[in-house]
Amino acid sequence: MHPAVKNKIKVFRADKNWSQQELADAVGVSRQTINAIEQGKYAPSLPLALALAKTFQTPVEQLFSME
Amino acid sequence: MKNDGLLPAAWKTPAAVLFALSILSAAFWLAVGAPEGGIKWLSWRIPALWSDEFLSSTAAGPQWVVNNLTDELLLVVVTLSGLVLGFSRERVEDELIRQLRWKALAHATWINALLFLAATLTVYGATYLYVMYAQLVAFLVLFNVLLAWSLRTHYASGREE
Repeated sequence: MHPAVKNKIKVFRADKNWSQQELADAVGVSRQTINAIEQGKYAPSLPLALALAKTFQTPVEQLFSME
Repeated sequence: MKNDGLLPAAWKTPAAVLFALSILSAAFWLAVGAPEGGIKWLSWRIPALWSDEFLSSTAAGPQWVVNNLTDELLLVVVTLSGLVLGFSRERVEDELIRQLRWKALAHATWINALLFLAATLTVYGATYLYVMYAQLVAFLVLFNVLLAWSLRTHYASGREE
C-alpha cells in the first residue's frame, strides 16, 4: 500500500483567492476532483500533480509531500 | 485525438433510457414469458451460421431457419445500450472519473463471477437455464448500477470550502 500523500492545495488556492471550480477549470478536471484531492481522498496522477504545480507556479514538492 | 475507448457524453442519456427499457422488457420476458413466443411480425427466415434442434443431433450446421427475432433484438439492445451507457464520457471526464469506472468494472466482474458460481453450485434443472439467461445481462446491469452509484456519490461529495 502506498503511503498517504499530503498536499497544500487548499492553502495555495486560498492564497490566490481561487475557488475550487476556477482551479478545476484551469487544470481540466471537475470541482469534485479538486475537492477529493484537497480532502486527501484521492492522490492525483503525476501529470495532474505537475499541472497543479504549474498553475500555482510552484515546484511540485512544495505542493505535495509524503505523510 | 487519443482513442481511450470512451464514447461521446451526448450518447449517455439515450443509452440510459434504452438500457432501462430493454432491461425491464427482458425481466418481464423472463418472469412472465412472451405471448406466442414473441412479436409476430419479427418471425423471419434468416441465415444461421449454426442451428440444430435442442438436445438432438439432427440438422446441425449453416442453414436458413425461421426464427422469431424478438429475444435476439432485445439482447442486442440490452448489450449495446449497456455498453454505451457504461463507456460514455462524463461532461468533465477526468482521471478520478476513470478510476471510478475502473473500480465499478472490477467490482462488477467479481460480483458477477461469484453469483455465477453460487448459482452453478446451488441451482439445478431447467431453472439453471434461466440463470444462464440472466447471466447474459447481469454483468452489464451490475457494472452500470455500481458506476451510477459511484458517480452519484462523487458528484454529491464535498461542497465548496
